[in-house]
Parts: sequence; C-alpha cells; structure tokens
Amino acid sequence: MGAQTSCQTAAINPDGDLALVVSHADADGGSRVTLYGRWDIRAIHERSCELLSCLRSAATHATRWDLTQVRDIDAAGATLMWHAWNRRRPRQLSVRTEDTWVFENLAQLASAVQDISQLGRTGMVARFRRTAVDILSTSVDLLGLLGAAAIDCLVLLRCLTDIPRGEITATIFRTGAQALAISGLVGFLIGIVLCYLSGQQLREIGAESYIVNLTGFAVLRELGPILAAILNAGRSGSAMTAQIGVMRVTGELEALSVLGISHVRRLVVPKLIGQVVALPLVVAWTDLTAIVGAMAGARLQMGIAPGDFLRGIIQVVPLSNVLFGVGKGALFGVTVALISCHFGFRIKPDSESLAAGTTRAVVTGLTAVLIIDAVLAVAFSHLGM
Amino acid sequence: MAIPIIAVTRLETRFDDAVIHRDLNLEVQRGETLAIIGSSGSGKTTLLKLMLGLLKPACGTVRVLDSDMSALTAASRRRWATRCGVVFQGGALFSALSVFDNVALPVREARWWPEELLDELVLVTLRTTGINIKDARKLPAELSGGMVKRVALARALVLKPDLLFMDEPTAGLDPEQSHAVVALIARLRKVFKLTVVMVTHDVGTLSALADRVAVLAEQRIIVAAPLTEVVRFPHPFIQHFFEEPLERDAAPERPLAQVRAAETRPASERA
Repeated sequence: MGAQTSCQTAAINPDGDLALVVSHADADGGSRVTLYGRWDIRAIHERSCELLSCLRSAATHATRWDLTQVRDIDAAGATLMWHAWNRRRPRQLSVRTEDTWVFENLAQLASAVQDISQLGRTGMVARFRRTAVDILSTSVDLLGLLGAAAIDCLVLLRCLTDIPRGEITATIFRTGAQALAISGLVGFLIGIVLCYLSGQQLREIGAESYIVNLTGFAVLRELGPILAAILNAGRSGSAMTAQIGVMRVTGELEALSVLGISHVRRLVVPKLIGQVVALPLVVAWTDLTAIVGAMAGARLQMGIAPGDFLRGIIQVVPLSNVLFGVGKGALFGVTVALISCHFGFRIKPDSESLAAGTTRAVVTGLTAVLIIDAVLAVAFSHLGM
Repeated sequence: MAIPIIAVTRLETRFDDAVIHRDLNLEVQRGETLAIIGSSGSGKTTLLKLMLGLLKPACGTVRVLDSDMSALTAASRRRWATRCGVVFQGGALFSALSVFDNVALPVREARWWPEELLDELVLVTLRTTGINIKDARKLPAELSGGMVKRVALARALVLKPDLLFMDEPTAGLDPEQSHAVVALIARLRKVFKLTVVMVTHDVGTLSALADRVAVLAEQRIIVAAPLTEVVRFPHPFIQHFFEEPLERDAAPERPLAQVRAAETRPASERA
C-alpha cells in the first residue's frame, strides 16, 4: 500500500493493493472510470480525502463505472464512491457479484442517514419545556415517595416484627458512626476559623465579649446542622443513590418486585429512619466539636479561658436553639434520604445514567437542604432569641 | 509451511498458586476458524485474554499477528489492536453510548475516517450485521441479546480486522437467534476474509463454523484437529462433551448427530 496520488493513468499496477481511479475514453465517446486495488478502510484510511476528490473529479465526466478490477471493497471504500456519486447508484455500473451487498445497503440508507443526523437536535423551547416537566415530575415523584414511605412506616408500626432492623442499624452506622471523624474535624476547624475571624472584627469595636454569643448562636443554630447536612448529602446521599442505581443495573430491583417485596419498605424506609436517628446525633457531635474549636480559637486569639467560654454559652444561648438545630438535622436527614432514593430509582441500567443520577442527587439534596434552612431561619427567627 | 497468525508456545499461566495452563502449545493458521472447547474453569477465556494481551503469562510466549504479546509497547499495541476484533461474551457494549456511537468508537479513536463520511460507514456496517438503521440511536440496554451480539460484531469488524476473537458467540441466545448469529458469522468471515478464534460450548456452533477444534483439558491443548477427528479422540472429557450434551446443555437435538451429519456434507457447504 503506497501513498502516491492515484488519479492518473501512469504506472498502473492492476494487481497491486494501491487504490487507483483511472479514466478511459470509450469508443462511443463516453468516459469509463475503472477502479483498481484495495478499497477497504485498512488500505485507504490515510488517503480518504484524496481518493474522494479523485472520485468526484472522475464523476463529473464519467458515463460508466467499472468496479470489477477492485481487489477488495468494504463499507469505507463504497462510502467514498457513494459520496462521489451524490448518493445515487450510477446507471452504468459494473461490480463483482460479491461486492453488490455493500451498494445495496448504501442505497437503502439514503434517507436514513439524513434522519439519523436530525435525531437528538432539540430547540431551546423544547429544552426549557423538558426541564420544567422534569422539575414538576421530580416534585410529584418525591411527594409520592414520601407518601409511600409514610404509609409503609404506619404498616410497620402495626407489625413491629417486620421492621427491617438490620437495614436501619446499617444505615445508622454508615451515616452516623462512620461520619463522626470527618464531621468532627470539619466542625472543629470551622469553629476555630469562625472565632478567629469574628474576634478580629469584634476587637476593633471593643466587643470581644460578644464572641461567645456570636459563635454560640451561629454554630448551634445554623452551622452545625448545615455542615452535618452538607457532609451527609455528599457522603451518604451519593452512596444511597449509587446503591439503588447499581441494584437497577444488576436487576436486583426487578428481583425484589418479582418476590413481591416493596422497594419503598425494603430500601427507602430503613434509610429514612436511619437518617432521622443518625443525622441529629451527627449534628450534636458537629456542634460539640465546633464549640471546642471556637473555645480553642477564643483562647488563642483573645485569651478567653475555655471554662469561661463554656459558661458564657450556657448563659446566653437558650436550649431551644440547640434543639432547633438538632431538629433541623432530622428534617435534613429525611430530605437527603428521599432525594437520594428518588434519583436512585430513576437511574437507567447504564453507567452514564448512574454517574449523572448520583451527581443530580447530591446537587439536588444540597440545594433542597439550603432552601429548607433559609425558610426555617425566616419562619422561626424569634425562636430562642 | 505458512507462518501461523497465532503461535502459543510452552505457555504457563498461574493465578497465585493455581496453575491454569502448563506447557500449552497452539497454532492458528491465517484464514482458518479455530474453536476452543473445554470444561468450565479449564482456562479457555484466560487463554483468549492471553492472546489479546489482557493477561501476561508466567512462562512461554504468545505471538499474535507477528507480535509478542508480552513485549508490546503502548503505541504498537494501538496499531496491533486495529488488526483484531473482539466479541466478548456479554457484548461489552459501552452502556452510555448509542449503538451508532459504539460502532463509530474504534474508527474515531483510530482517527481513520473523516467525521463527515462516518454515518454511511457505520450504518452500512450495522446493516451488514443485520441491525436495522432505526435502532442505531438506541442504547445497549434497549437491545435484545441477539442484537447486542450483532452490534458487538459490527464494532469488532468496522476496522476490517484480520483476526476476530469471540467468547461464546451464541451464549444466552435462543436456538433461533443462535442459528441466525452462526449463519451471520459464517457469512461475515467470508466477506471480511477473517481468521476466527472462538471459545464456545455449543456443538451446533462448532459443527457450523469450526475448521479445527482445540480441546483444553489437563491445563493444555490435548488435541487440535477437525471436529470429525476430535470426536473420535479417546479422552473422557471429549466423550462426555459430545455424548452427553442433553444433560449438560438441555439441547433439543443430540449434537453428535449434528456432527456426523456435518461430516457427510461437502466442506464447501459447511462454510
């Protein structure tokens, strides 16, 4: 297989592999184009553009095409000829019987190629409509899932032996016990940072003593629950979506259906209960480590003794703030679990859908947590003040 | 004698302490179809993976298309890969890509063909394996088992390889689909002038396609010969494989009868 130009008639070796396009003048005044050599993708891929231009140039005057001298042809070689012929079979075409299949297939493709290139192209209005429908259907599905989970919880309360204790404790362990290290570290560091930066500003206006009030309210009412929920959505929420998604891919969800086992009761309810139990505890733990971090920061920045700091917090921050924060933890736990399970069930049995579903679950879970937190902050602004 | 397209010499394969192959020798000639049979766990698929360079042997050499599979560099492996097509047992189609994109992937990766000419190349290749153009935008999850095999075949053949490897090409298919896929492979190996190496348990596939059958037992190839000779080979596994298929495969017909029927047909008809 060489790389020389093949449009000319010089140095033709009809038995060689080199793809050639040769024009002859026929006795009747017409022009016959004969192709030689190998016309398969392996032989012509380096010269596809050159050969296409040779074929197009030959097609402008050709009255007959002779492909009987071609040694080998496949879909690639035939595609070049087809383009040169403007996707129409020439009226006078000689081709070996064993090569007719490829031209027959190309003739049947003529309309399909146009159709296939049109597929998947959608306008902006259609995309907007699809997004709106998607948000609406997600909201309806989430409400439906919440309702189904509530009904299943009531059913389980009537028959306590059916409560899936193993799954619930596993969820508590994964979302609670296994998250203690990371949530503790994050809480401690945020406590130090908050105390340090706030302390600098408060010192400028001579209000250092308010550092206790500021860090106490911020950590116990807002930062503790939010930090725990963000970590929970990223860590446990993605794991829940991926677990259900993999069950879809491996056919385990169908197996549960065939066995007559409710997906919601088996998979969603244990996660909901586990989250409701575990996340408030994680919130309390994050509050504690953040306060310890803030105590350390106050000691280093302003020389406030840890004992004084602690006594100050107990005096100025009412208990209702702590309970409000811990209660928000339970609500965030339910939100993250519901959204994660919802997106898990929507995963299709392919790897792309699994990745996209997990990402959407985490992003939606975080967004939902922040929206709920903002609503609660406004609605309960007088609580514990 | 012609240089074999595949030469496996004194191969030894180990997984930790378990010896899978010991002193295994096998040659495949250009243009022939070789079927590898053996009991479950005998190392057939492992042998296929060694030929593809997906595993490295403990000892011995595996030469495929004049390349020592243990010594291939990344660049030479990419060139080598364009000369081989592989149909995995489950198809191994990329689940996130459509049928069209699965078949287009090897061409795009090799940068062998202009994008504006790709539609026809891929669609004709799909039609060659019996896939309807309307199914080109479907995802693999939406396909039947037979269609998955056909798309996998199209992906394996789109670069016009010299060598086609197939792992259980008819596994999981009903008898009708199985016959259709076997007939398709028989036609395509002629059209594409292929050398085929396949692992199979299906005697119908063996009798319809295989020029030679290599039997893997006792960690080596105990015989590699035309099917009619293999069925007479005195070894318990071979006798069991061809004499008691009803219990093993729940096949509707006794395969030995198929083999003997194939034996009476001229070779040209068998292709």
